[in-house]
Amino acid sequence: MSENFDNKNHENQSDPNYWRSFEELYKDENTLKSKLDEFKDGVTDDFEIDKNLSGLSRRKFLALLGASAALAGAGCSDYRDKGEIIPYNKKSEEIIIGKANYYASTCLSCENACGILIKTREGRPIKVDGNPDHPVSKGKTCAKGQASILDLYDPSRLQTPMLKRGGSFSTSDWKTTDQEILKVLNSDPSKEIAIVTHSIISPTTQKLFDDFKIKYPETQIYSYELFDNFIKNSAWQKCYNQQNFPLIKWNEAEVILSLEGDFLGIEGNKVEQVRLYSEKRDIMKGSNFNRLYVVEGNLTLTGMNADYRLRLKPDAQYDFVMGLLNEIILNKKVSQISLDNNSVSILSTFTLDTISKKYGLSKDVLNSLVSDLIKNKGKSIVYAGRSLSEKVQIAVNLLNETLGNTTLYNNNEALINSNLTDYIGFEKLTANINAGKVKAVIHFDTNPVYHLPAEFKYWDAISKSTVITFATSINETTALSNFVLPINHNFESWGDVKVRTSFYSLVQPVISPLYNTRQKEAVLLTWLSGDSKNFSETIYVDYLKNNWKSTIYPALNSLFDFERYWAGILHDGVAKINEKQQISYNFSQVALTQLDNQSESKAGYTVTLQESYTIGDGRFSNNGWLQELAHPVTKVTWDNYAAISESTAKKLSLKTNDLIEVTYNSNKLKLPILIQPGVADEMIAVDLGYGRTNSPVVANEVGFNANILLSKNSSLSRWILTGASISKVNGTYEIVSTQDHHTFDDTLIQDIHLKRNIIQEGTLSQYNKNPNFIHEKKHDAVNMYKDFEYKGVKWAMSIDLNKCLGCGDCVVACNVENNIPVVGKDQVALGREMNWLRIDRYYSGTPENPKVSIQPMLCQHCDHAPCENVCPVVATTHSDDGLNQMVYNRCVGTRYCSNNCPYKVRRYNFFNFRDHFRGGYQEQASFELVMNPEVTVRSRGVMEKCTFCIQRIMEARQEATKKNTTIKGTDVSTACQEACGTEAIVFGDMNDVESKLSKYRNHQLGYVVLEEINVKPNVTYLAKLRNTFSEEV
Amino acid sequence: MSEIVKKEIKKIERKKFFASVGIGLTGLMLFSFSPIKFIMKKDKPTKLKVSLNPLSVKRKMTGANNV
Repeated sequence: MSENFDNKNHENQSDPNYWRSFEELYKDENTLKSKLDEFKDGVTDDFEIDKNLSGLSRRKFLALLGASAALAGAGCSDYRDKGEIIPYNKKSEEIIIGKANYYASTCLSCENACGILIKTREGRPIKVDGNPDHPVSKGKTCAKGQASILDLYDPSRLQTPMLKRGGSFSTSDWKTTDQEILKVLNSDPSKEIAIVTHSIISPTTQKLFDDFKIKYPETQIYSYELFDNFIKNSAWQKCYNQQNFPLIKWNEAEVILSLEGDFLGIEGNKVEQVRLYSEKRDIMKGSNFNRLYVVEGNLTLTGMNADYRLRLKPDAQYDFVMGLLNEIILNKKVSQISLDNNSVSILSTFTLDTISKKYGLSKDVLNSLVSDLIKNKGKSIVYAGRSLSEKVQIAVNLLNETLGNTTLYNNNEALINSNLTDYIGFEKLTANINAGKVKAVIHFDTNPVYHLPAEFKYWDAISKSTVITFATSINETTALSNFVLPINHNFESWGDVKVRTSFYSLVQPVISPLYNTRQKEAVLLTWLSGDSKNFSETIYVDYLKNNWKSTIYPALNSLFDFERYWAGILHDGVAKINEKQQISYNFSQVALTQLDNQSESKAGYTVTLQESYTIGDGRFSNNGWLQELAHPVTKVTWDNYAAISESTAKKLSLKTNDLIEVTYNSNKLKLPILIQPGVADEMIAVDLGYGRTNSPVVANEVGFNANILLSKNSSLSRWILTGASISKVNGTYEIVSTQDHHTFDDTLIQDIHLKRNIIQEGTLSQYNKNPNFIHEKKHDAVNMYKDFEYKGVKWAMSIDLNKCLGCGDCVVACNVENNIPVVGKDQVALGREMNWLRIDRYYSGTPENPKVSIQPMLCQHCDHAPCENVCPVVATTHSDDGLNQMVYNRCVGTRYCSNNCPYKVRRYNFFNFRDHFRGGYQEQASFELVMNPEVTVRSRGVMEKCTFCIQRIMEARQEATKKNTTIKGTDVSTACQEACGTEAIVFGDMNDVESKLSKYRNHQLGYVVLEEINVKPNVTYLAKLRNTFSEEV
Repeated sequence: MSEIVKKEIKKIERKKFFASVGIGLTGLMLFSFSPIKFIMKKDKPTKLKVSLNPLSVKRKMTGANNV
């Protein structure tokens, strides 16, 4: 800076002197000079055209640009897949283009065999829902049933028979395979033919096996399930001299005590049980709720919904039940039966006080439980889970007998016995195969190499025989087979089912086989005939009809001829028969000789092996929708893990994702841990069904195969392993959970969901004292916009949190209805799962004894939607019937709407996930067929969200217009509403004051989430009421 | 620059221009009409045949819970 500065210009001046630098202020000479020049010195230095520029002139550049554009245009000439649109040359009478057809059938995803209605469009099934005429499922089906549509179109389905020659498989034809198999079957009659099957629930299939045995007397049938009721039924047989455990009238129980029994989740017929249970959780019918006590080791779906929950390891359940028996029979002297001295002496060993202290159980809860059971004698039920030992089952039967609870056993209807083979039977089979006494092993759509305990070495044994495997896709067993025979999917098959007395369910095909597959029963019939040429497409349906005509139909005394009757039962999906029973329950005290005073509790860790909520025993592991469905409790997707308690983790210095090695009876398994609230200490819970190998692309090597821990030598049951050891091993494995995704914008504060009234809940006694208790706090809401007057129908939804169990069936139904893509584990890890509906799960209380609150969250279709204002291209608008609409082809993907959504319910297509997941797995030809043609398939760069099933609204509106009427709220049922087994979701017209929806919306317990921000959401939640003794939540 | 040189430069630039357009048009013709696109990767090699089973019996959806 020059020393001769003169700043008198800025002293006492009336005009302000603006300056940008000190040099300018103090009038530096160089600065003043530079003001006169536009460019600074040196700006044109080093500017030589030849050296510094590319040499490409503007003209040349434009010429090259023109040529590139021409080439690009030529290259893009096939950008749009023109495809071929060919109208029907001969249109089938059944099909009206654009209108759906429905077919009644039966779901064979599990042995419960729920009745289903399959919706088809242009000859292809696209949706599965429950059959309202089915007496058990009554219009509902579970997540596996909903997702089974994807298995039909699975691109990795086997398409043609395969033969193993020289160690590798080659494709073949049916004629060749039939001939070779017949040679094996007809050889050496002294050697056994073993047929390994799942539960035989079809009477006609049973007849077929009987006919097979007549032709091949050396045939033996072995049936198994990975999870069965063997122990339960065995205990029941000892107590009541009846084969099967009875059906329970859950809807008549005032008090339910569930011991390690997940009856709302995976045990028994879940579809029926949730419906019956929720009948006594309906606030519209009054506040006479049932009370649910759950005593379990791992936090299950049933435990999440309990009014009172106690943590207890499964091997301590015997002590607990005996303590209860002692308290009720000996102390309170409540008993309908008199016990012998020996039983009394055994009971005296167990006191509730000692058990409470030993296992850290709350005395208050135990006292409530005992008084509740006694007060509700004859109107309560104690339920022991199927995994518990026979001793516990017998003790629980005694407890129910003592309390007179046998009145809640259904005495008109019973389950049909399915005659499963126990482990001893399979040991014998393996030994016979090893000894060369078995000429052929036929796997009738089973996967025993995966399911049987490793100790059997079944995989090794079958190499000594001819192995024929029927399967829909490759698995661990097909890899070791000589013949792999592709079979029809359930929706391509005929059949009948009888799982209970008083009715049959029918299975009919809704599509002809997509590939060169055959129904497995039809193949057996072909072998029975002795010649492959005898196969026809109708071979099994003819056999089925003949069986019905000759054995079942004559006993019905039907007024119609057989063909008309047959058409009628196919139409209904159900054939009711007069099979009224009067079952009586007479307890045999001889069963009590099985009880003793020895505790089952052991030192060391207890491992429980559980059925996966989503993929069952592993047979659905190739279904992407089910793999991506969050576990209802942990919200983990795409993996299994070892769930352990926080204190156990601290003791072993473990954090979530750390790897451990579990050892049981020299079987070892390495898997990651998840610290799970509510799990008992010294216990590990692991889901089975994962860790598949030699499986199709979605299932392969997902998760960890815990089947290797199964042991024939486990003392309590196959699924409870006591005395296991665990040790930390090096390494971590990322478990992906959705529970922290899409959280509301706020810092993590304990019980935030309660403080911000996202979850509002109370107790039944609180509600009875003051029904308006949740509305005591008023929000001063500021209205920024003028309200729009909705004339006509205004769509709204209500969700009853008393009935919502958090199972996730609605999520899968939405996925199927709205063509939601599977994104894969890596994308879920980034929070990019595409489910339009999520089930939020909140904990409150302590990690040892958490209270769980569940809330389905979907687009709230706010009247003052904050997403609509911020879209720069008006891709999201509001309709005059109250829907927040999404215009996919306007959306440019700014994601501003998602940013502004307070509920975080919008989903962005970061990729074309159909192309991105597993190398374009979802873009294969067969996958197109699963799409709902009424719903746009979204591509990359587009935002999407729940539309309140606008396609169903439009269809109903068109029907009403055709009939010259106006659409009503009851004309439309959303996919989630239809799927919900407890009818927690109600949808309809809020302008119709008489409607069910209005009653829910205006109920005293009704509230909206984040009411204070006044976006006016149209989804009302009914606050959950816990049926506890105190008013404390 | 002399007039002759300018004319020559213009001639060369014109040649280059038309050469570029010619290449572009040739590319367009090749991709549009030649068999080259049949050698390119096909998106969906096979179409599945969908047909009804004539013995199945359909019904209406109406029922207690299915609207």
